Formats: sequence, C-alpha cells, structure tokens
Amino acid sequence: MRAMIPYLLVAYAIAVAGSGTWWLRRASWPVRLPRLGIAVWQALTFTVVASALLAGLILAVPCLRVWADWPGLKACVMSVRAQYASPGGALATTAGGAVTLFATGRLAWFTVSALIIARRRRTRHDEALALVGRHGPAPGMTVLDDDRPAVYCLPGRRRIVLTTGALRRLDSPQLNAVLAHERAHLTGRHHLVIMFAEALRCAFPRVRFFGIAANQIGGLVEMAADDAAARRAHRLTLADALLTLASARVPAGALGAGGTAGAQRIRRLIDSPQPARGARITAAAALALIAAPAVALSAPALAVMAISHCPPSASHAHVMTTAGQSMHGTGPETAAHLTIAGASWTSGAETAS
Amino acid sequence: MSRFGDLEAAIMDVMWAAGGPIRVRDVADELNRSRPLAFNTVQTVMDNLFRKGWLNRQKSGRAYWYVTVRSREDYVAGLMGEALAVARDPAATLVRLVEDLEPSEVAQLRAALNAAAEREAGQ
Repeated sequence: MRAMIPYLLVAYAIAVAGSGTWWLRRASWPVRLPRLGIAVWQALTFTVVASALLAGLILAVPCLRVWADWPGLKACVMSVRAQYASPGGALATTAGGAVTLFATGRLAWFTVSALIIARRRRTRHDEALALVGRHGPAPGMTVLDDDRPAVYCLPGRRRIVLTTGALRRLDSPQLNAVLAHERAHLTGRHHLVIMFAEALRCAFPRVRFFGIAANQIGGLVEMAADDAAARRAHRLTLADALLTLASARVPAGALGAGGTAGAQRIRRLIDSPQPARGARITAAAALALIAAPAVALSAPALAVMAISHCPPSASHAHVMTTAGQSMHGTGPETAAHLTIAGASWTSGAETAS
Repeated sequence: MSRFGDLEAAIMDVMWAAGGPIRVRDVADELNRSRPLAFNTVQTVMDNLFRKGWLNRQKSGRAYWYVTVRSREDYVAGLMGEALAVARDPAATLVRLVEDLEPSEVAQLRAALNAAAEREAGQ
C-alpha cells in the first residue's frame, strides 16, 4: 500500500484536474463571484502541482524525514541503496527524481524569467512614457497622444495610461469607472495572478489543464476588477465605457465566431447577475473539496514517512530478510528506517503471497 | 523614475521642437525661459539621455551638437504597439482594459445596453 502512494497521488492529480475543470467551466457561480472563482482555480492548480511533485519526491526519496540525525542519514543511504538493488525500485527512484527535478526546474525557470522579462519591459516602457507622455488629470496617470483609444496599467509602476483617443471618447463618469477598474488591477496585484497561471501554461504546454486554468483565471481577473469598479460607478456606465473603447478599435471586416471574452464581460455587466444565495456556499464547498483531499492524501504520505522510523516491531524481521546482512547490529531504530524503502518492492511479494 | 525624470522630459521636448542638431547651451537657454537651471545640470542630464540611447551627439569645435535618435511619434507608436499587441503576454507586462470585439458583438451589446438603461430609467 505504501508503495502505491506516489501512484495514487498522480492518479489523484489527473482526476482532480479533469473533474475540477469539467465542473468549474460549467458552474455559473465563478462568474458571479469572480474573486472566489480565482481562488478556487488557484487552489485546484496548486493541488495538481503539489500532488504531482509530492509523488515524484516520495518515489525519489523514500525517507524524507530522516536527514536530521546521523544514524538516520546512514539508514537513509542504506535504504536508498536497498531500493536501487531491485530493478523496479531503481527505475522508480530515478524516474521520480528526474521528473520532479525537471518539473520543479522548469516551473522555477519560467516563473523567474517571466518576472525578469516583465520587469525589464515595464522599466523600458515606463522610461519612454516619462519622456513622451503627459501628466494626466489625476496622479499616477499618464496621457499618450494617440487617437486610437487605449487604457492600460503598468503594474510594477502603479501607473495608469490613457490615450487622448480614449479621453476624447469617454465622459467624466465613464472615465472614473474605467480608472476604478484599473486601480482594482493595481491594488489586487492581478498581474501576479496572471503571471503565475501563465508560467504554468508555458512550463507545461502539453498539460491542457494549465492552459484552461490560465484562460479562466485571466477572464475572472477582469471580472473581479469590473466588480470593484461597479462599486464606485454604475455598472452600466462601465459597460458603456468598455463598449465605446472596444468598438472604436474593431478591425473592419474582421469576423469570427463571436462570443469573445470581452463580449462576455460586457454582457455580464449589462445583465448584472445577482450573486445567488447558494453560490457562496457552493464556492466555499468547492474550496474545501479541493483543499481537503490534498491534505488528506499528502498527510498519510508524510505520516508514513514519519511513522516508519518509530515502531519497528513487525516490520523489523521483514526488513532484516530483505535488506540483508549489513543490517545486523544497527539496532531496531535504524532498521525501521528501511521499511519504507523495503515496502516499495516487498509489497509485491506481500500481495502475491 | 530617475531624479531628473521631469527634466529629461523637458529636454526631450526642446530637442524635438528644435528639429535639428543643437548644443547644450541652446537647450539650457530655452529651458531658462521657464525655470532657472544650471548649465552643468542640463549637460549632465543630456549626457544621461545620450547614454540611454535617446540622443545622438557629434563634436564640432569645442561643443557637442545633439540630435534626437527617433521622433516623438516613433516612440508613441512603439508604446502603442506594446499596449495594443494582439499576442498573449505570459509575463503580464501590461494589463489592458478591454479585449477586441467582433463587429456583430458590438451591435448586439449596444442594443442590450440601451435596453437595460431604459429598463433602469423606467423603474
């Protein structure tokens, strides 16, 4: 059973990614409560990543907890050696270690490089803005001379940029609504939310789940900012502003299937969905459902590693027979360390007998 | 932004207005119409702008003659290019207000918006 834990974790990651995606994309509450929706998508993503990495880690290092004390270290080395002695164990350990290292490295690389790239681009963009932009009507606001309507924010710099084209098309309440939306992005640090989701998509492009999660989170982040703006301005004013800005930019003759994310957002503001009574509870339940199995599954995995070097008793003899002569004289405590390594290849014999 | 951020912008404004090569002295004279600035300050900031790639310069006689590398419109176009880029930006450098819409969507949404506004006004 212990040997099965890494495989169970992988199966769990796949199952939770599949069912979570299926369910979240059909549910209506994330659109009503976008901030909670973001949290649930993030929890789901975290659960999937954590389960997969933990699975690899348990495969690679069967005695995670014993590094602290010297005899433990010795036992660990021996247990790893014991695992390598069996062909299946060696393969699993190597594969688990390699996959974990590769995945962690890739994720770290894409996250750090996205942070660095964004920082450099923002600095350059900001420098150019300082020279060619004009001070806007409010602090932290820059106006660019361009007739194409555009509004955006530079997150690290806490700067909101508007073109003269946008200013010309918006009246004062609309402008306030738009600024409230951008300020919500800045104060909510939405760029980091987007960046982490996108880093996962880039690091593992073949895992469709991360792509879907990034798309969903990207859409929900905009809705969350819309809701924040709708608390300061009338939602129809914001919808009008968004529609005015977007329609002035529609490429002539460009026709597609419709139903773009932008249209969905504006439609949502117009229709003004009231958060249903049950939605909040459903969402909270979703969070618990996603978080609980992760804890429940990783806890036994960690517990097994902790327990395996305490009460030796029954497993002791069994380790002696499998780990061989080198075990003699090391005492029960050290011997117990070996059970988990032994388990990965003796469990087959157990089930067979 | 650097300590001389505003001064850099003012100097670039003078440079773009000049249209051709000018000396630090000319820029300082122009700036002095609105605020008192030491020649050395202007020289330092223009030197920074040269190092950052905003200005080119050539020595003629005892003075450097400065020109802008690109026009103001070029820089605005570059910034707008980044702001309106269609491609997804994994680094989330900028956060844009609204995505592009299809023409058919615009008409539908406008009709829905008008209907909703009338409903609210009627209540």
